[in-house]
Amino acid sequence: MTLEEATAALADRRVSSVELTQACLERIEKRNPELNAFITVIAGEALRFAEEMDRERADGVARGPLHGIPIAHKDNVFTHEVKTTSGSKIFADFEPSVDAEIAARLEQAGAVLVGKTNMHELAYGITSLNPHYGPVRNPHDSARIAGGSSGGSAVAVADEMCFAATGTDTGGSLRIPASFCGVVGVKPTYGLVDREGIQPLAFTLDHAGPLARTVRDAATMLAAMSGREFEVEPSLAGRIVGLPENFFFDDVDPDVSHAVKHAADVCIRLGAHIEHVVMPDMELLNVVSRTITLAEAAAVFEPWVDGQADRRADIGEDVLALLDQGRALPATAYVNAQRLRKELIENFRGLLETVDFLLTPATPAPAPLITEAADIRVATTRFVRGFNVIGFPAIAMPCGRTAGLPIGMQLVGGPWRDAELLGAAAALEDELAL
Amino acid sequence: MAENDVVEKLCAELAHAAAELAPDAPMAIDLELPEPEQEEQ
Repeated sequence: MTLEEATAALADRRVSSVELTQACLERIEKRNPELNAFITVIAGEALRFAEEMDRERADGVARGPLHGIPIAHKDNVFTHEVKTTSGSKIFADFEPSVDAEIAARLEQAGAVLVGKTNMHELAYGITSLNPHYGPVRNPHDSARIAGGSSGGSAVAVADEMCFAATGTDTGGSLRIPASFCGVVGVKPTYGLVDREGIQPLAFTLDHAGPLARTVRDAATMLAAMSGREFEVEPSLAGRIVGLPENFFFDDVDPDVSHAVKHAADVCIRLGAHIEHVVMPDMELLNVVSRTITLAEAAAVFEPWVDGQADRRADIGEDVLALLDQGRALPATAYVNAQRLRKELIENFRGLLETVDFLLTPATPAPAPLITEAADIRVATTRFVRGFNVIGFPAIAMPCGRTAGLPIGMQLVGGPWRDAELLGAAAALEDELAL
Repeated sequence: MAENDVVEKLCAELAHAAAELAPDAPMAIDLELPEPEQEEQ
């Protein structure tokens, strides 16, 4: 059942919020021991809030499409008096005194929080093989990674432990797990979703967004998270879709390449025109991304790495190595990366004036085995992380399968054209009918 | 790859790109993506 279907069922009184919440909690109880999607489950609180939402509905109160819908938050989203670890041993006992802005907005919209999802430690990595809370496993093959850093959120949504979830994305952390788990992940335009009360990683690259089973469900979540209304018109008629000639189809699994090019054919069937485009310097964009991330993350976590509250021993090996690289980075590198960022934004603005959207693979290959997930960060992030540098909206969504695993594609739009992008993605989703 | 090797490689690539592409770029580190209404003002 999708979020949209659950909303309709609640409105028609075919199901109650308590029943939906109980079903999600039962699913978590059954599947979480294997998949490890949740760090914290708040069954009692969830059922109490669901009862309240049912009472309100019976009294004629209608909060909107999320009224009574069970959701989850990534564990770097602050939740009032609910443990918020950020996947870290350092914050193992942290219970925020306030909700993050997006948590407050979603609660106001009537969403029922069932728990907090597992993630890559400090959101600084893409495997979600967490050394403190255990590895998040892919629901399509539990020997494989879920992707990250929002791995637990993607798994919870893909495996029907909730209807939608929040996540964050600094270099692909919504879109990579969406691609690996076969769900929709939306990185909105930088600034569209308020990040107040979300643990930062690299503050000029961090974005918050939704994970959901369909594009429309993701749009519903994004509307509540941003406080804006999105009219999602599922259409690609008359649109120009840019298909990259360079970079995005290099060193890509042939099945991924085939599936994305098939999606381009579907765009044509929907009335769009495909324009083959030469992309700006993506390698440089990725270098800029890595430089800014290294520097800003090192600054954010400096107190725990080399300050009075030294907790180096409590940080996983891979994350600590990145933090130390950031501390070794000269300030000039960070400044030059930000200067180049300006140039690159203008390059992409120019490109997005000639086409409406870009269509690319989200990841070069489907989810790798856990045993083969070492040193895949740079290769796995190369199609997604650049769009955090320029801040343009990007959606990862399923476009096929290979050997039982989902294949993800990425649609990118111009800044503040999130609603148009969601509309194009919804049209593609309908026509692909996966 | 050792930490210093990673950092040195990144810095070399950035220095080259900065020299080639952004000699006159302003020293600004904000990311402003004004919405269309604001652009018009």
